[in-house]
Amino acid sequence: MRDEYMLMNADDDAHELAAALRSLPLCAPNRSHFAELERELTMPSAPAAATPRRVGGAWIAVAATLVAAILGARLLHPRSLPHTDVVTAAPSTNTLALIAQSQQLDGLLATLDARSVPIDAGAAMACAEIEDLIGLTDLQLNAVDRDDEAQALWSRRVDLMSRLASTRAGNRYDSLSDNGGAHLQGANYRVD
Amino acid sequence: MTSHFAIDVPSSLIERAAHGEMRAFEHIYRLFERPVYTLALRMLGDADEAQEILHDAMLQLFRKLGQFRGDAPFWGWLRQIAINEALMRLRRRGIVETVDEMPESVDCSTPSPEHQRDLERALSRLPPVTRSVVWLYHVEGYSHEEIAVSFGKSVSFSKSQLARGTQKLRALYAAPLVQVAYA
Repeated sequence: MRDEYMLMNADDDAHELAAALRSLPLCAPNRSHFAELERELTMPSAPAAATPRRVGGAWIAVAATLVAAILGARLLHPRSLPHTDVVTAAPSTNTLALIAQSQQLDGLLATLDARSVPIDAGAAMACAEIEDLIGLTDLQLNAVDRDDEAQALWSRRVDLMSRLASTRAGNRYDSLSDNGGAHLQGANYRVD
Repeated sequence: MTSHFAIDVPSSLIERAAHGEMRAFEHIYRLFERPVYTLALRMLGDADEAQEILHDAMLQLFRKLGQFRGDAPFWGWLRQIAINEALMRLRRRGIVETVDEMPESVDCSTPSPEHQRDLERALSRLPPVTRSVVWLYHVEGYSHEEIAVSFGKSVSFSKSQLARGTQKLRALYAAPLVQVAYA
């Protein structure tokens, strides 16, 4: 009974807090910066609005293959590498395992791509952001020399690829639960 | 009441903007300028960074408009772009990994009653990650699962951050909260 009472109080508190936070006014920037944005968008080098994305999959695969080849070459021919002040180590067993895992995930993602399962806009955005992070990780991998750094980056890549695969495989809106869903149903007001 | 983002935008306006019509895009920009800025300010706690997020999110929006398929509300799509931009900033600061980082001060220039300023001050004293989770859950209506996906963390991370943030806010703002809620 006491637990029930405490739970009800906690719920009330949460509702009160949510109501108070939602009642806070909208903030506005000191001045509008649309003019700067417009200039940037209309510069000759600005990409077109509807430029299709999704060059990531092939690019990531090429980058991963390239990095794997470089690391593999270092493993097989460490003395053929140019001398630098940075200590260059051959990839450890852990790093090689992560590279193999990453390649498996590449294969899984290629299978998912081939199925062309429709996903909602939110999931598509999340996928695009994860792909950007994978691209960033690949760039960092190209510049890394030490095995411990490479291992951390490959681990991050595997983590991002797993997230990408799970996001792409599942429909995000199916998992909306206690606090989700309702906020996507209706709009506060309409623009005509 | 739902999110400040919840504005229905006519599909014709979106199509015109997607085809590069700058005035249509400006219309969309004006509609969502304040919701995006406010969200960024609440999450990052810094007016300059909030302005940059507004700029970057709108730039992303313009470039990706052609990909919008209309199977989810437009405002939800734009909000996700803004949240992703804000999270990228937090990650760059390394704050997502260190949730106890000292908070920034949130300075919203919009005039508001005293009790709201107290709440804003209390909110600004939370660490950025905790504050972001509290804001996404209570104001934007995100579920723990959605917050977990956005942060690349577990559901229990979201729940613990929310509990922690709620507890701290309650401690910082205990008495006025009840007045606001029942006013």
